[in-house]
Amino acid sequence: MLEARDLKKQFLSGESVFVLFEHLDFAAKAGEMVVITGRSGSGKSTLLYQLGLLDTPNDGVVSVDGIPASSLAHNARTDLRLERFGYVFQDYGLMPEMTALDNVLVPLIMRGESYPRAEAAARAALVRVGLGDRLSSKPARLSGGQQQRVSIARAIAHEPPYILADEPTANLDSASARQVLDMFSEIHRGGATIIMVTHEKESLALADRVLELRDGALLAVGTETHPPAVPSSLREGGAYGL
Amino acid sequence: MTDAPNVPVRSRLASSRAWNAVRVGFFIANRQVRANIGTSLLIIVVMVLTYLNLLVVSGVMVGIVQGLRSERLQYYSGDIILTNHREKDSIQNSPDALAYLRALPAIASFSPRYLAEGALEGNYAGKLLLQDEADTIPTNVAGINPVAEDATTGLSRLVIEGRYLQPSDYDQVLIGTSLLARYKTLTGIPGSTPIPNVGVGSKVRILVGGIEHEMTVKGIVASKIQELNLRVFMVDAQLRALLGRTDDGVNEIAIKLAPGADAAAVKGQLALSAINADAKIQLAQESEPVFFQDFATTFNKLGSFLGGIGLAVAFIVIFILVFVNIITRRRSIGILQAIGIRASGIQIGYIAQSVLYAIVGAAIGMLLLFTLIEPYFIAYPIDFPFSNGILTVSFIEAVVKALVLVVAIILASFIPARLILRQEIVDAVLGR
Repeated sequence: MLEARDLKKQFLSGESVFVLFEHLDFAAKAGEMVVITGRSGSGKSTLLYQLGLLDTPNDGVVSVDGIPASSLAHNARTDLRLERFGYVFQDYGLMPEMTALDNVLVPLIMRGESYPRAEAAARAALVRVGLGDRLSSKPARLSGGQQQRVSIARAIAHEPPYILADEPTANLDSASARQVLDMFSEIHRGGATIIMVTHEKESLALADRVLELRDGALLAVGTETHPPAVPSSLREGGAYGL
Repeated sequence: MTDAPNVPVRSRLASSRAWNAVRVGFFIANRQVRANIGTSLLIIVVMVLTYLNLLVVSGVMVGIVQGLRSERLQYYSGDIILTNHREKDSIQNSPDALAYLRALPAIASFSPRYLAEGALEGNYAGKLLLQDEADTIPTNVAGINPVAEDATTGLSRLVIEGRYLQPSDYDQVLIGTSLLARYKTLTGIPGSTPIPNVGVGSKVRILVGGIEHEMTVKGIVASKIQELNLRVFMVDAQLRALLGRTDDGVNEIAIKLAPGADAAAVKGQLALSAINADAKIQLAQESEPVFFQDFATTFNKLGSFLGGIGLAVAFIVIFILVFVNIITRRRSIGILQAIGIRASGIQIGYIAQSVLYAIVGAAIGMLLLFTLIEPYFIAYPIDFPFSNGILTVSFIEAVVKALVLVVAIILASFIPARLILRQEIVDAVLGR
């Protein structure tokens, strides 16, 4: 289970302190797909970074499968990210000098896989996302949708229990976005826990649970048994931005 | 998604993360170097120039002294030089000494010289009045066997005008350039003025042993060794006759060793012989004037100082190169950290790249140095007024400086990589 308790994140803005959220609790059960939505600047991506151990909260605890991550040393946090998480970034986060295959290979090598095994796993992950014919292509030679699929391949290649996705379809055209969401759907069916931050309405239908981050609080929008309602931030007239 | 073989990837928590970080580091370095061939080549060129700068500047400084020493050994002292003891007028039992030298297989040739202080006078034909000031200059007169001298020191190669002496050349002399006004030389004789209007074919008077004798200038000797430029050379038999010497005592014997002979060993052998009592035995370097050593020390210090500056410049250049290389990949570094690559792995990646550049740069630099630059300087020495400067770099020094470059580059890579890796991951990922 990925859990956050009493989370607080604040920023300094000149002399003043801006509290993004405080006393925030979150929990994602194994195999659950949670979509977090909210207005631009509401702090949803910031919350995702706290949950993914990419940033440190000002207060509160993030636990990964019972391990309190906040108290871990730098290397232990890095190792935990490597073992338990797969990340999909809004703008893909690929190494421009590496091929699609190499981008997927890097975390596998860090995990201690032998090169042939790592390469086989990376190749398989790229085949799964439909890029078996673009293994040697560098990111600059791939479309946005293809780059995001490489990013997904990198996130799933080591079969982590948690996939964190930050606006994975925001930079994509609707066809590519549909493909990417289908992939998340399949990954979810495979049993991975997915936490996705998005402002795309299409993503909501995939979620087991939709949470809206509003005024520093997480509000449940739908239930597991009923299709999620459109949160206030996604209703017509809502203001979003990237 | 497309169906694909499912390759299970097991976690290897038990395996060494540190080793994995090294593997990832080398993987990243490999991919970055291969992906940026142009930039890599440019950095390697900078490394080659930096490495050569480290070696060549100090090498030339040392080479100035080395050139001076080589010239003195070749044209004046030979590998070993025998001189008379200070309290004696000449080397005692010279015929025995010469016979002993002749019998040693390690000696290729030797040149006995008779020396006398004297004076050189020119332009006397037009000076008839008592108040006319004579154009004279003190000099050292050397009586040589032209054949033996040339075989030992190659003196004939220093004759820049006219011709070299032959054994039968009585009443003919070779004159060093420092004695004549028409040649600009670095040093002269303090308080004396070089003689004007004297050249090849001029009549001069040599005053030696109280006897004045008119001779013809057959050739002009020019050398970086001032001892030679201040000398007048004539055939030994004539000098002995002018001095009225009936003994066979010579003042100096320059010895050239056979190829491969060890000068120190030959000196040791001579020291065990009767010559030791009759002559002062010195290796070429031991016979050098004191200022040579001062000169060498000063130039070595200067070489070290310039080498130090070269190293500092190398460090700064490398630091900037690596810093720019790293800073432009700030976001990539953040992403790598985000997906679980340890900072040490990323750091190793950048350091490995830099070390590769340094090693390749130093290797190319070394190749250029020993196959091109050093032979070029030997073939075409730098014409300093006091030395034919060559480039002197030992292989050991080249290796040591390559190691220094590698250590400098490790430091220069470590610092910027460390600085970038200390940033918040989320800031790097978001590029803020």
